[in-house]
Amino acid sequence: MRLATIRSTLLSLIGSLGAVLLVVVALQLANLRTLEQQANSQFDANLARNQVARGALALARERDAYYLALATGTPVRPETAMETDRSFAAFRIAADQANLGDGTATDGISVALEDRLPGMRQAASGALRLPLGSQARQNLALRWFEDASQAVADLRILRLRLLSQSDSISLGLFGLYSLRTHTLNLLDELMKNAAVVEVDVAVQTLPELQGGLALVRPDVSRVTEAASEVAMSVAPFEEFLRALGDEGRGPGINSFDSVAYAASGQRLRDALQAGEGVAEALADWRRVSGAAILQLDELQAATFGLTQDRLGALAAEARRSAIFWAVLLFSALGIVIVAVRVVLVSVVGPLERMRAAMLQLAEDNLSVELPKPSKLKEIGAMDDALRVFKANATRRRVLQKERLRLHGRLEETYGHLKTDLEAAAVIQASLLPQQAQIAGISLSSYFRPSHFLAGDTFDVLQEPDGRVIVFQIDVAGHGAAAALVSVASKYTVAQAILQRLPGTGLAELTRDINREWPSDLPYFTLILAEIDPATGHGTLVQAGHPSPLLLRSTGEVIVLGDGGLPIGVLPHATFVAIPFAFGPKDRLLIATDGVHEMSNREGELFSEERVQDLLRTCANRSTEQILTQLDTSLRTWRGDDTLDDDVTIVVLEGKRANEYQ
Amino acid sequence: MNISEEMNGNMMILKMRDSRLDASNAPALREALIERIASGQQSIILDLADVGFMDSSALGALIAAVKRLGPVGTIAVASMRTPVAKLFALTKMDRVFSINATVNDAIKSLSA
Repeated sequence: MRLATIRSTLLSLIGSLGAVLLVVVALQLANLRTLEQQANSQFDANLARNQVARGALALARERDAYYLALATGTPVRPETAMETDRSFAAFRIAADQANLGDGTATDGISVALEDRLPGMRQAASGALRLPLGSQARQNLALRWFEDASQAVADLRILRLRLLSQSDSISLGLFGLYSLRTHTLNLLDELMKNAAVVEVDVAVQTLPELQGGLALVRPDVSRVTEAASEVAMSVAPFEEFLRALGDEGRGPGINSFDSVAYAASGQRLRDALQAGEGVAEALADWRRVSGAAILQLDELQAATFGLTQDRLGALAAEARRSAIFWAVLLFSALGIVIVAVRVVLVSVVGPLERMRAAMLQLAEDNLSVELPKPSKLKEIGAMDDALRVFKANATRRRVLQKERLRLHGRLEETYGHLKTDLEAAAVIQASLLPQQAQIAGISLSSYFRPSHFLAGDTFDVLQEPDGRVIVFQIDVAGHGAAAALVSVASKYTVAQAILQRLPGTGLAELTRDINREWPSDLPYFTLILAEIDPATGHGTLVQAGHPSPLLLRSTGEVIVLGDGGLPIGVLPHATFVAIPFAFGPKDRLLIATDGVHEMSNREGELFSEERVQDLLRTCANRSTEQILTQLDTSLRTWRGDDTLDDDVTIVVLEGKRANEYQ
Repeated sequence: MNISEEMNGNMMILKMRDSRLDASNAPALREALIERIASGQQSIILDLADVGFMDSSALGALIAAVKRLGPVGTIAVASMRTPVAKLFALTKMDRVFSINATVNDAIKSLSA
């Protein structure tokens, strides 16, 4: 799985955790199941082994009973043999139950009992019919005793073989098993002793057996040895013995007093040898021996009980643990499922919904529904950020719309203004005399407003006496305001000229214009020139305007005037009139400062010198050609069609005498 | 409009840092001068050493300032370069402003 998403990362982490938990718990459960099965099978196997042990004990009792009957004539209880057979039958049932499997156990029983026991019993029953104390009966008694002892030993061996097949060590029961084995061995020894001693005492004390056999002698020293042997061999199991004593299961091995047992046996032997006190010594022996046998029998039964209890407890413990682990497993699975659900519902879900919302927002879809606010703090914060983002985006869109609307209005307004200005510019241009023939003077002009409307203006008028008056005005600045001022100034100048009293010179006229000009209006520069075509005499007043150039028909360029105050700067300013001769083919060029102050890309000005040089080189060309040349030179100089200031050029040309009527 | 200002006694020396004074910055120049006059300045020296070009719009701003200042105040102009000097000569501005070769000359002439 690729961990490309939060969902897959979180789910794989939780899944791995759950899987590890599952494996651990499954292994644990399997182990516990094995343990329980082991404990249960041990329980059954132990039960079967116990039946073997009980069978061996029953057989030992049968052996002792028939031995005593054969050797001393003691009557046998009729159920003795039945008890043995019952024990064997019980073993078979237990062996089937315990599933001991390979059949060695039942085979062992067959060999030990079913094949041999019926023959042995038949021989013993036959011997009982022989006279008591006869040699043949004694021999058969001894033979019975040995054969039966062998069968008991075989059963013990069978039990040990079964024990060795079982897994006693892993369950911690080895000690208990060992204790039981030793106890059973000792019990057999004590029972054997009891039988042998009884027979021996009877041989020596009963008159019908006197002069009988010396085949079976009491071996009291063997009794002593067996007692101390057992005491030693059970020493390592004190722990169990104490446990048995504490649990009240039996007297414990400690109650078997090997010294007292040996002493009692010794006393009986001494009494027999001395031939007196035999009855008391025998009674004491029977009490001690019987008590010891009873104690050991109780002990072996108690160890069996303890073993079964422990196995049962193990199985129960295994079951309890299994339940605990199973509960743990289900809890863990529950937690994993809850965790997966929480991750999906509370983390991954909101994140994915936010992601989808963000993608929609990124695509400018502001109508997208934002996910419901999360209770988790971090996701809530992200949620809030998303909400703020959306709100901002919505506001941005509104602002953008507003801006576009304003922009549209601006463009519309600008369009209106531009239309107005263009119309006004057409009117302004149409009010200017582009080309005029007045008396002996022809006028040519060149007019380029820098921005629709110009602050420049000019006009030409004829006096009743034939004199021609031309003027050029440049209002500081350009555009609509300057254009309006230029209209006012043009009107003012024209009115002054029309209302001029006879005999008033241009200087006085200009002074009056200056004085009358409202001081709160911008100033303007002015060239006011008057030419009498009849006499070829000219006069001009220069008021802050660039000096006009007089291009003689000879090619000579004369600069007229050296300056003067503009109109509207000083109310009491005075002006001077500059006289000049203006013959046929002479040309007077009046230009605003937009011409020589036109700057190129490097900021260099076109300059008056360049205008003069151009006029000199074009002296023999027509006025129209000169203006065209000037236009070309200025545009080349500027490098483009823009203008910083309005450009106006007026050229007056005197006609030849023969052209003048 | 880039102007540096310096006081000499009661005279304010304004150095024009722009190399061109034309229609584009004439309104700002006018505003700057009117503002100082409105705040009480009566003797103003304009240092035009850095100005390579001045047109009629900028001249209009100076004239408006003079008109605002009235007869009690003076505007002196110093360190004009040739193109500016030509404009002043053409328009006879020596009748309107005190024209000086250097700022020190202007200070002297205003102190006199």
